Amino acid sequence: MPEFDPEAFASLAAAVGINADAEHLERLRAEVQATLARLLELDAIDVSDVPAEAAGLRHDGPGGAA
Amino acid sequence: MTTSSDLTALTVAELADRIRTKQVSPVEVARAFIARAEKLEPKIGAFVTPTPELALEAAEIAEAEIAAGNYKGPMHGIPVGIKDIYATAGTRTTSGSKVYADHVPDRDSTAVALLKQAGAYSIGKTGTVEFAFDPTGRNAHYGMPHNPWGLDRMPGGSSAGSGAGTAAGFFPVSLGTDTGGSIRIPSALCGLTGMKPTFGLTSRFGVTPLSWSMDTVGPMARSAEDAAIALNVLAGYDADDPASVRAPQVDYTADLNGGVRGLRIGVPKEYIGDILDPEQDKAFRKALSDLTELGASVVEISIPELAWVPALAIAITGVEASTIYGELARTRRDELDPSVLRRVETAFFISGERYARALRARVLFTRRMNAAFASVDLIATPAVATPAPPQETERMTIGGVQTNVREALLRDTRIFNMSRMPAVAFPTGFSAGGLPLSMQLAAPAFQDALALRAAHAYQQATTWHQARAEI
Repeated sequence: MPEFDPEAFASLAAAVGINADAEHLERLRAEVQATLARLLELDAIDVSDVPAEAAGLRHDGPGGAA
Repeated sequence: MTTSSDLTALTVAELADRIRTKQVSPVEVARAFIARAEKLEPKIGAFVTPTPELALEAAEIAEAEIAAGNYKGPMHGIPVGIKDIYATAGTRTTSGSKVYADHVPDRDSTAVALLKQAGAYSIGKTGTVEFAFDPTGRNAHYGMPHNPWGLDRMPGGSSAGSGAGTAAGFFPVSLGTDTGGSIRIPSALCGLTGMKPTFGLTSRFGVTPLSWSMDTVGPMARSAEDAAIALNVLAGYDADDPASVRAPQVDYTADLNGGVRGLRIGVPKEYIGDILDPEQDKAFRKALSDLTELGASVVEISIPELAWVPALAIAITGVEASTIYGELARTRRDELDPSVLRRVETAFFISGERYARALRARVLFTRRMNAAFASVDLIATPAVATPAPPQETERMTIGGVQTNVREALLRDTRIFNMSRMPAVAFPTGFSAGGLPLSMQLAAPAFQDALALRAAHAYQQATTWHQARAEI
């Protein structure tokens, strides 16, 4: 995963409503970077067997979820 | 003659027996716990808002009811520690946040209302991580409670005060909530028995949310029997909670003495050993051996999809929490705990597509877990990878593996948040440094009674759960 350039990250953060000082943004940048890298694992899971509408809050009750 | 200090060492079951037979009165019980809490609270810091006067008033009412022949059951006259994310009418509910420092609800959460109906009462609101969004127990506003087994150690979170206070003997049972392990982690680190029920079995109405698809209400106690007694009160359908399920009514104490003979316990061969403290591992293996001696069979099972759990949890919990707290993060950021704020903000960068993918993968994961339960009755794992770390720990090395303390605490518990199955954590020994070790047993959805029965069988054959911290 490519690293966020600090300035680009600051712009992106501002665009989603984060108006913070440089120190906070730098820690946030590291955290976002690590999180998005971790979430790449999700892309390797084949979810085609599960319709999106079957994946909400619904709980099928006794006997287990979907 | 039972002294005050003896009373605080008793379990709910033992106290209930003495109250029912009028060997002790609810007021004596209340006074004993209040006195212990007042003496030791400066060392532990379990409470955000102690309510001793209200507790005494409630105990007097319970005493009058019982004297009049109206005994309601084993929670009647029992003091309870209430995690400070449960709404309590007339008593402030901070949710661990400065933003809600003066918030006084006008209605009880369903769980608190059910406890009151059963004759129990709050002895105080216990410390929680802000919005229950961290497993360490840290709170920048109200402080981190101290673990009674090592005052320099984390109590675990997010139900930190409930864990520390129950272990310290400030109350015999408490309410926690569990989204990724927030009942079982402090229970494990503080030597308690903590029950995360099946998602939907207990009402979350009036409980400050973190993740609407995984938040679960449950008890933290000193034995599986006490957890079952409390779950009897808490379980039930509630139209006020959209995730509440109409499950058959079960007496969770009825089958407690059924033992484990003939039960098949599966131990995943993947994932759980990747990050695991050697002492925790040794105690886990010994506990499995003990369960085998009691008549269970322990078999290795394969669930490679366990590797998905951290990424699923990060995506789902993160996005749901940021949906709830994003507005606060934007408008009142200076009032939020900086680490909680960062976690909420981090989720702003998780795309909707990734969140939806994680929800779909969770369905696959649950199917896989249901398939695993086709060949076993229970699944066993260590409850946490490590004994309680020092309070300031951020990164640590466990069994030669460098990891973040949050990952170390959450990795095993959140398996069963993801599958939304019941899991009970309970003590299995002590480290060389005197810190509690713990395992968890999980059952298929809505077989909560089976998990409690197996934990109870283990506790009938061992004494780890009876140990009490010297404070």
